[in-house]
Amino acid sequence: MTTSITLSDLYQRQITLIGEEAFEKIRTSRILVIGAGGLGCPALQYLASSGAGEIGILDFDIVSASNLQRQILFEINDVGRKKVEAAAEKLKRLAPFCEFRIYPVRLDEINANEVISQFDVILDCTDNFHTKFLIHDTCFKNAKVLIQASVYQFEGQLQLFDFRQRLGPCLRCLWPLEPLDGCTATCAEAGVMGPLLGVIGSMQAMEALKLIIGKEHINNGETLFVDLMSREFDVRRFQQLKDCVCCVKQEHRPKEILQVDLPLKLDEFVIVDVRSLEESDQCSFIKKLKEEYTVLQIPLEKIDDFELANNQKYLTVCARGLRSLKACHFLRSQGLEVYSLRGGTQHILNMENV
Amino acid sequence: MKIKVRYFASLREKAGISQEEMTIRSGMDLRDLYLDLSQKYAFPLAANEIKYSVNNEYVEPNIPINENDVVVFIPPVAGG
Ligand SMILES: [Zn+2]
Repeated sequence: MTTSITLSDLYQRQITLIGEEAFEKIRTSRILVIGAGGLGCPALQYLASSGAGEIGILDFDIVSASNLQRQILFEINDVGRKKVEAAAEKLKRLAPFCEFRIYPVRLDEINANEVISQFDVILDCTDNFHTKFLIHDTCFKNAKVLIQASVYQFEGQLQLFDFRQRLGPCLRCLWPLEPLDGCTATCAEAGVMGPLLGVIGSMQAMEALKLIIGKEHINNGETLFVDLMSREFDVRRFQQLKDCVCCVKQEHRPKEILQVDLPLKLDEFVIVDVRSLEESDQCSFIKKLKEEYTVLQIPLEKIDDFELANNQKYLTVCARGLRSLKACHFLRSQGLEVYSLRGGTQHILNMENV
Repeated sequence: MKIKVRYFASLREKAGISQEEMTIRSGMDLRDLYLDLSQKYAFPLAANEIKYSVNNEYVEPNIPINENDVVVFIPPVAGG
């Protein structure tokens, strides 16, 4: 029964409105949704059900019971599963003609370029300033379209940055320095209602689709404020900052990040295990890595005895990510490009077991 | 002079209201007004941690307020 369903059976209503040619643009679109949470779930659902060609889903997190109130792709049975896997499985049943790519990682300075460069339109559905600014700067660098949203209690804010011509205004024209995470309450602290995320996440999907088919949309230099308590929608405009570090000076962000998840292209790194030999011999994860990659064993207390080549990227590793962070600090002070594996090998092994 | 003030996100939560009309002395700029209201409502954010908008344009905090302006204080928001 299901195998006989065709594209036009699924998408007829939409084709009636926008036409075959516009629908073809949706069919060939490549959209990345970063954060499969409250905003990401409704956005993903509508992008998939609208016939997007290729959808990327990036999220490092695991479904928990408190998510279900608003993260509508997940069910009770999904609690404990990786969000990207549960989401892709559900969406495939809804949109068999769509290609899904999943990234069960935290976005960081190492993987951001690599992932974002593979898509045309990026939806920022994340919940912290640090990641939002990383996504923003990476989208500018890679000349992508970014559709960004944030919520608080009964309110949402949406912005669309079309960086295809690498022109501003950009988010750093408004906030030259990113606000510190913790300066405002998160959804966990302030609380949030599910339907707000349904509205704002769906609007992100709608803006993406309109942009893809060439209709009018939110412009660079505008914030759309949505207040579901007072039922008000309004747009506020901002100007380009004449010395903006991002869209005017185009300065690259310093590599300030020390801790990362397991990089997607591990072969670009020399792995440095900073535990004692005995400890590292008992670790099944490092054993597996040694089969495929270059792994050096340098216990933390001996790290200053070694001279490492500086034409190479390094990833320091230990059991919990503390010693590796110390080693990372030290090696950076020697001028090397080094990152520390966040949470250590135990975190990786725990993730593999869920 | 009479103006309207609106509060967003964490400032609305702290003030306990979405908006209010008030009379202010002329010559006051946005930053002065925010500092006064911060005293009244114990806002958690400093004057340089928020954005200011008048009549649907983002503006710098040092611009003077005019009669009948709609002033909005906009804190950073990241929830998702
Ligand atoms: Zn800018």
